[in-house]
Amino acid sequence: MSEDLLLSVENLSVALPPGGDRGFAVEEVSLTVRRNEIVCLVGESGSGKSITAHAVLRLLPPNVAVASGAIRFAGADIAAAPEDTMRSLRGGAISMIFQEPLSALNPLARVGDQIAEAILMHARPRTSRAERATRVLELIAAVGLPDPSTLARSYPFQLSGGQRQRIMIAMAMANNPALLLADEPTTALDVTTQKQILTLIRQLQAERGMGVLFITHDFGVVADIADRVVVMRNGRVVEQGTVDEVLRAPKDAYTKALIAAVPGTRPASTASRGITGEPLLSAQGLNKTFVTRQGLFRPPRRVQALRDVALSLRPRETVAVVGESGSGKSTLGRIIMRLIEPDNGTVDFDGVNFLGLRGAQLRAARRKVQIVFQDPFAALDPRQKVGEAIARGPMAYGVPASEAMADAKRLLARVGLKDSAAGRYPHEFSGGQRQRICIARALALKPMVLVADEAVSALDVSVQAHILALLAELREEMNLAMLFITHDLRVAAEIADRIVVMRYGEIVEHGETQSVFRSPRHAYTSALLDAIPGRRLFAGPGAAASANVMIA
Amino acid sequence: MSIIALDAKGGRGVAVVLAIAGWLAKFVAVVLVIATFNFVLVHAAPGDPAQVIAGQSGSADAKLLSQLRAEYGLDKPYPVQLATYLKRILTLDLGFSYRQQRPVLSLLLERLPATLLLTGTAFLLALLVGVVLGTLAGVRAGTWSDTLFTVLSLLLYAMPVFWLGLMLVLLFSVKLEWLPAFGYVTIGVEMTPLQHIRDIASHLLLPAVSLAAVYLAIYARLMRSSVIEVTHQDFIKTARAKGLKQPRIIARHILRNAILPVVTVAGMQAGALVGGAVVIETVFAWPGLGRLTYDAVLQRDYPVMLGVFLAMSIIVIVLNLVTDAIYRLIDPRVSLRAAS
Amino acid sequence: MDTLKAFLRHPTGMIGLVILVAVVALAATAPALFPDDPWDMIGAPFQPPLSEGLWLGSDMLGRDVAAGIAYGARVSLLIGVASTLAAVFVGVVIGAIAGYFGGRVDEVMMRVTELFQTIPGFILAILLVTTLGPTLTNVIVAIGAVSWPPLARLTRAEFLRLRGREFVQAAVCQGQPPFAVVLRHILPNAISPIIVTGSLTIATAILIESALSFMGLGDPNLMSWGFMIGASRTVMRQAWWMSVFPGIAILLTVLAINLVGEGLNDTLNPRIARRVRTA
Repeated sequence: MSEDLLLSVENLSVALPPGGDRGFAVEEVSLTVRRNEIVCLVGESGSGKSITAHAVLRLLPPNVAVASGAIRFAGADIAAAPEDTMRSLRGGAISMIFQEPLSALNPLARVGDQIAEAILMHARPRTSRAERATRVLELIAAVGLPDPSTLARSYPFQLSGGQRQRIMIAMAMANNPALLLADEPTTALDVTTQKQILTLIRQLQAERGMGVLFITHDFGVVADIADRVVVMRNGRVVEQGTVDEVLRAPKDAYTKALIAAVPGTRPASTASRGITGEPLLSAQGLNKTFVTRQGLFRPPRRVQALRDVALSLRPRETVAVVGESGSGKSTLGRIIMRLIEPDNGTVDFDGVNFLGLRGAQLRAARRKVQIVFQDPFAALDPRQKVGEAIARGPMAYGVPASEAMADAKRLLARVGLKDSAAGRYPHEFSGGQRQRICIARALALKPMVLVADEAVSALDVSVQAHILALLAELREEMNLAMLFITHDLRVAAEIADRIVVMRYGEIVEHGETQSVFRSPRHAYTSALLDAIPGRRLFAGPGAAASANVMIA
Repeated sequence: MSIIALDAKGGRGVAVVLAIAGWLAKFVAVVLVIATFNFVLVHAAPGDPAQVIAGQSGSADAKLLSQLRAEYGLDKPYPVQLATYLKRILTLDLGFSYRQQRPVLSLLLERLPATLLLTGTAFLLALLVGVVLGTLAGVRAGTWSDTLFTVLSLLLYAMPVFWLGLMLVLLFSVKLEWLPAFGYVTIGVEMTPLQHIRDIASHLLLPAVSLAAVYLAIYARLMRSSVIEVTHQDFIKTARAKGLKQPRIIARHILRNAILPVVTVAGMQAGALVGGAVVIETVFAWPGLGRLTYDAVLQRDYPVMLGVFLAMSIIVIVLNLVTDAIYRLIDPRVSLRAAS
Repeated sequence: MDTLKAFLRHPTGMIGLVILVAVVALAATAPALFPDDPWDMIGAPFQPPLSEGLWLGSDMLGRDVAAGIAYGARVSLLIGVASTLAAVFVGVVIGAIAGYFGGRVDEVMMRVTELFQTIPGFILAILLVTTLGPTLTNVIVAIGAVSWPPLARLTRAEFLRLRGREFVQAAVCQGQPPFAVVLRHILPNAISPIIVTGSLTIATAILIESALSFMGLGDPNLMSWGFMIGASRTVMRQAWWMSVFPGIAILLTVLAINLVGEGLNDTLNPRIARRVRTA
């Protein structure tokens, strides 16, 4: 049993520099990873999951250090080991891969050279350059990339996100590690790519009998790959056990809340919302090509973002526009908001040719369609008080300042913030709170349509659930039609009446949420559905009331 | 899953050709603009343009003035004059210096090598030493040597270039008598080629260091902050996670990435550096274009002043070409993105 | 204000401010401290420093070096500030137009700016002063004409960056007219780097002015530090104090401005603190 034990973290505490909002990033954390198993370390931001993994290889930031506890690898306590020992472990017996593959690779070096460097650091006896080159090609092939010799000579910017992450994995496998630390390696990837990378990691783990410590915030991913689960919150472990134990019968309230917060698990109401009538918003034949000039002598680069796209939205209806990166969904949202102009096409809104409006007329019409952006940190002016940010909208339409301010305060209360919030600056609020403020700002103008451009994508899962619930309430109260842009089909399942699937600037499928999920018509839609993490564990829309039915 | 097919060599070849074409276009544009500007200036100067061209000597005789008027077409409409002027420039006829009784072009060509030597040396000195010092400071950020570095670079940065030159002369030539104070070579002494080179080098040292000092401080501080910033990036963590030692991380990962903004700024500062050569050449009696400028200013010799302006601008463009080439060498993204 | 308090706590910024205040005080009180015209020959020539009545010595014509430095402070500060204001005005307007409108307008403006940066600025300044005549106004114009490109570049970069930011787009969606968006959202967020670069431009302007006067191209009626150094070049070996003190004056003033500029930079644009990843 003990030879099986690769990693044992015992009562680990990692101290933060003084003066922060808490003293420890990680407090009294204990967990184990055995050979030939995948342990998922789950938590939201601030849980300390990433720091725990970094502590194993002593890759902590400068002012952060292990305060107490032990980290045993193959029996020996490496928390106290000399730097030389750590260096021989890093990339050797223990490897680590990170979240953002573009920034995790040296942009100015060929990827083949970067993999070869990993081999060079650890190979004993010394290898020749030719031997390393051969090994690099083997590794690139082993992670499922075709044409290894061309790829080895490429630079990171020439590869896609999925390809880069495979290269990172190849680098990590170079010296046949016994333990792999994976810090959210699929969070920054498209959902179909995520599925491929998860499959790859599982395959490599099984082939080599590695122990894997996989960090994630997504319980769907946990359901797909974990053997055991460790749940962390605010630096402490709140629950751990086998994946069956934790997912079927969670003991801790926080774990239960986290599992419940996974979108798409709450049984969708099958009662019809009674959406009828003529479309409020109707777009036809939208085309948009982005042209970037490349200097005097080169032809400009053309990227077609939208190709003959049509969309309709009825009053009180919620349509989700789903797609991966490069699908054109954000461009569509911006065109509807008149932040970008299409090359051609029409948009009829509330009986008016929306695209034809200019100047004062356009400004007058703008109040009817409002937007909530993805990044709550960038969407608020850091130098403007929150109450004023909300009140400026109505004031631009003639509402006197005092009345607008009073309305702003009421809205802030409605979205769950205190009255006093109006006098504070954005940096004093958390991500979820800022998103609430942005929603209040959008609703201050009492629009008919709300465009939510990945409005919950940058939020923690539990916060996400609250915001989705808030939006669901508000749309009923205010009779809002919503255009919900997202990459996550689970979120779409939860909130949308109809789903539109986009790829490479085109609409590949659209229909009622239920029918898209039950009987997708296009192969891409099927691929997207298949790629939903934890799908076999969690129910799709319209499923039975019990959310924890495991379809093994 | 698609693979971006690349023909690495071919791609970069295309990019180099395009870069050179772009540079040539810029070159021609600058020459034309400066020529036009010179033209405007001659006519904006108070007094008779013919007088201005003759060098405002006041004593030019009427015959010379009418000759000039005919030659430069000064009684014709402006567009025609400008066209004539531009044509002359393109045929390398830069006018005649009546003060020095020589064609401007030959004056420029005579003085060009000295200025090239001075500005080239100063540029390379500032860049290389600045990068090295900045890297050392950056990896030792927060230590006392870093603080010392910051203090010294702040002082250097605040010094007027000519004053630094004078102070260096005071110290090294007058007090210590280690280095010569003026000129390019020691005259009147027979020397072998090797001794000749050493002689020039000893004359070059103080002027080049004075000119380089300010820019050295700028590049060093920029390199330092660039190194600090790069050190915090994710790929450095990846390098550590592979088990690399710090020296290798600095040499192979940090250096290349950190130097890019410094190269960019060096290109942007080339104009200021070349301008500074004017003052340094004056202080050290260095026989280059800058010194020529000073004399021409004193004598109000317009054709020479304008010629020097053109020549110095060309030196700046050449320096820009050098920095652009260095940048492309280090960063493959520029050329390869262009070719894709 | 928060930023003011933060600045007062910034060590190097405060050192710079103290020195700068001293220089300004010297300039302001020059007529009181040295009632005679600095061009007046009030003593024997070539007196070394700490001679009777001549703290910093006298020059080859018997003029008081200390008086020259005090009056020179007025000239340097005046020219430095005036030419920077001109450069800021031109640079910010050009940069703002280029950054806000983008497209063709941006391209044209940027070509012009690039051109001005390719031309050796100092030589252009020399040409302008020589052509237009060495008066105070012309010197200010010449230095301003040479100093605006970096400000234009910076303003353009800021405007481009902010124009694409979601909070600016949100303001547009809220129905605010373009002028209000620029004034209320873009400008306040762009102003800090402009202030910092502007203050550093004052330093470069003073250096350019001193170089121009050194070469004899300044206003001949104004006693300036550069002029003092230039005039004493030939007698440097015998009378080092005539070159050294004005140079130190320039050094201290420019250093002080740079320190204040850095202090402003740190307080106005607090770098996004490298927050420890606690996730």
